[in-house]
Amino acid sequence: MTAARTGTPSAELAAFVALSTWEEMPRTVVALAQRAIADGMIATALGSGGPAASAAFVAVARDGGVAEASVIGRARRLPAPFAAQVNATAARDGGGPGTSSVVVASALALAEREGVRGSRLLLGVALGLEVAARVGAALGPSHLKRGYDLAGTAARVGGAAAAGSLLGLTPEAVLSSFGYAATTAGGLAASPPEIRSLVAGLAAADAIWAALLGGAGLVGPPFPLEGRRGLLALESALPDATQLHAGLGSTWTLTAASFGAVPDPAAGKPWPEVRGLEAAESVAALVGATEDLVAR
Amino acid sequence: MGLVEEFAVALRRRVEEGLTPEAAHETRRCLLNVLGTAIGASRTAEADALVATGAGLGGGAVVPPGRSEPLERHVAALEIGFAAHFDDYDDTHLETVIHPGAATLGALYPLALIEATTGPGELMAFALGVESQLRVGIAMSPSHYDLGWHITGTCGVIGAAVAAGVALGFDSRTLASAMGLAANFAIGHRESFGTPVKPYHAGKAAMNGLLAAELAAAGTAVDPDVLEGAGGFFALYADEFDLAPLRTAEVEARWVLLDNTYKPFPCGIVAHPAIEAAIGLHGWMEDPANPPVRSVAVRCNPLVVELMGRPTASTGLEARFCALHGVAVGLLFGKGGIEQFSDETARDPVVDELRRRSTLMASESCPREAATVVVTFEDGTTVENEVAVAAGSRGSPLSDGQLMAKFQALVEPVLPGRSALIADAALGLGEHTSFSDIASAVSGR
Repeated sequence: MTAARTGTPSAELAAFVALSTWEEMPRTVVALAQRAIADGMIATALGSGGPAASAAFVAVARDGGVAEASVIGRARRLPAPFAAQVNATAARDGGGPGTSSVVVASALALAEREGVRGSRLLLGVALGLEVAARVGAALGPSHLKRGYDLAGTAARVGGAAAAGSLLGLTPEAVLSSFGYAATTAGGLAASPPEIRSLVAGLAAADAIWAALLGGAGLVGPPFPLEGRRGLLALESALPDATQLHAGLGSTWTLTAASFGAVPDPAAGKPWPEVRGLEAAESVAALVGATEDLVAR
Repeated sequence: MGLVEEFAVALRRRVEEGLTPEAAHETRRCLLNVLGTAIGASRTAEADALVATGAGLGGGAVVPPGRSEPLERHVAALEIGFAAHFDDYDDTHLETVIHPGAATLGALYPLALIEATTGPGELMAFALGVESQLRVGIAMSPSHYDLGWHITGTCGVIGAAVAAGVALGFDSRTLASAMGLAANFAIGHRESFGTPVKPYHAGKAAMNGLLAAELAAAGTAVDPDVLEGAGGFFALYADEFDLAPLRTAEVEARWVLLDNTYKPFPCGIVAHPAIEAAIGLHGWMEDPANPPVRSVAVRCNPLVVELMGRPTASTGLEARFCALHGVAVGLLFGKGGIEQFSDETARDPVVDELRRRSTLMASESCPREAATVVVTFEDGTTVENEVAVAAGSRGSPLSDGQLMAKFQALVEPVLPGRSALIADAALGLGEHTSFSDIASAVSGR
């Protein structure tokens, strides 16, 4: 990415999302994005039959809608925000880490809707994960201590970043979308697992709404993250806004640890066998659709 | 029993007991007003953008009032709440500054049409949607808003969930789950004021509340202490709170929805006394015998500066947070309707000149419902007007007639010739009409 920086953390982060290119992605970052997609799809399949995903599906599928994106494990396609909602709910319920469950679900649903594949999809996921990691770092430990849930807060902004990248939004539109995403940040970490999964699901849907509305020309505030009454000020006692933009493009905050613990096949902790033929077929179909990147 | 269930039991008891005549009347006034604002802003450029995005998703089940496109139910809830709050012209509970009608209408309108619920149940659902969110807001005021939360969004989600849950006939346990889920879906930062993200809060509150009710109906259960626990809703969203307003005794003691008010002007309510005072001086401005205005001084409560202190405005949305804009249009045009808060008027050079010559002078001794405007002319002469109790405040509520006039002014430009029929349907809710009659009147069928 180049220029178009206006100096404020939110605007610089938005420009980073809009202007970064595939060629600039470090190999390690690409590998993490691939890993997040693969883990996310497996977790989604594992959680797709659970009560959380079932409740979410019943809630958002009643009126049907355009078949934009796949609901993993249900052989159904729904409008992208709703598909992402069910999939992210399932992913977290299936053992996926909260943050990447949200970012990957919103990215995959929007990519399917827009017909985006390959390196552009991986770029979107990588940028979304990096934004989520940076927002989480900026919120800091006091955010978690107060009782917030990163999957409902930082991941909403990260999901909007991924979706905004996939839509090819301008820096200004990405900044607007940050406004729509940041203001919906919430969720109680003390809630039972089923509800935390539903919070992740709603976060993925909100991320897509934010990108769509920002792309539709609806504007947001100029400082949604670092403003006096923005995300950092309201949801952290000791925020550090420099984490949002320091070293963007040269320093990557994203690490495997940013996602939280996941089962690691290489460490002898494989994912449990995917349950159900339908779920397995969905995973196979999705992996097939993105195999050029997952295998890259 | 946790607090959320105690609150749900108390709300359910309200359902069994029914509304008092006063509460029923105020609920219908609130419905009329918020239906008017939802229709009034339904065809703004921002609503067009939201609807175009939402309609593209398909699943059309409900046509929002004032629109022609059927939208998926959650998307319809989003649009209705968004439009209802867009002009900042909807109902306001002054103690908390919650606008409770928008999220309530947004959740209830699609659900009522799809489920074909009955009028009396809908009236109760609307009343308790308002009542419940006001009580949650009172419990954490003023700490919550002062921290920077947009209380219309955060509490609106819970009110929308209650409205949907009561409409669906939830028992107290399911209603408690709906509220607990809604607490996990709370949204709204005040950073967004002056942008379309602010009305998005009311729309999103409607959408999230409806979702919370649906998830509760599917059997999702919450922790008993989701509201009052160490990591619960109140601990996260306020530094200081008092749980009493949610307890049985206080819920049974009175209907706080009776304190709801309706704005005569489409902007932040704290500026209303100053605008009314300015309108009272309009005749002086028009008098050709008077020299040009040198300056305007507005003596007001400090909250006017805090919430609406921006010195100028370049868009209609910004004008809604610029008390001096309201004063300028009041002086120049003698009124403060939707047109006076449009983008065009915000950019009018004559309005801008007068705004630049005006100053807010905060005074701790000036009550929130009072203001004085002093106009100084170039020859040094002055005129002034003091408003002690502004129209639309608790001490001087809009009459039914004034409310009807406001409704007509909002609806007729969008749906010519239909305002009387829609008002009949809204004001008859629970007696001889239901939401399906409102929808019929809106669509002209």
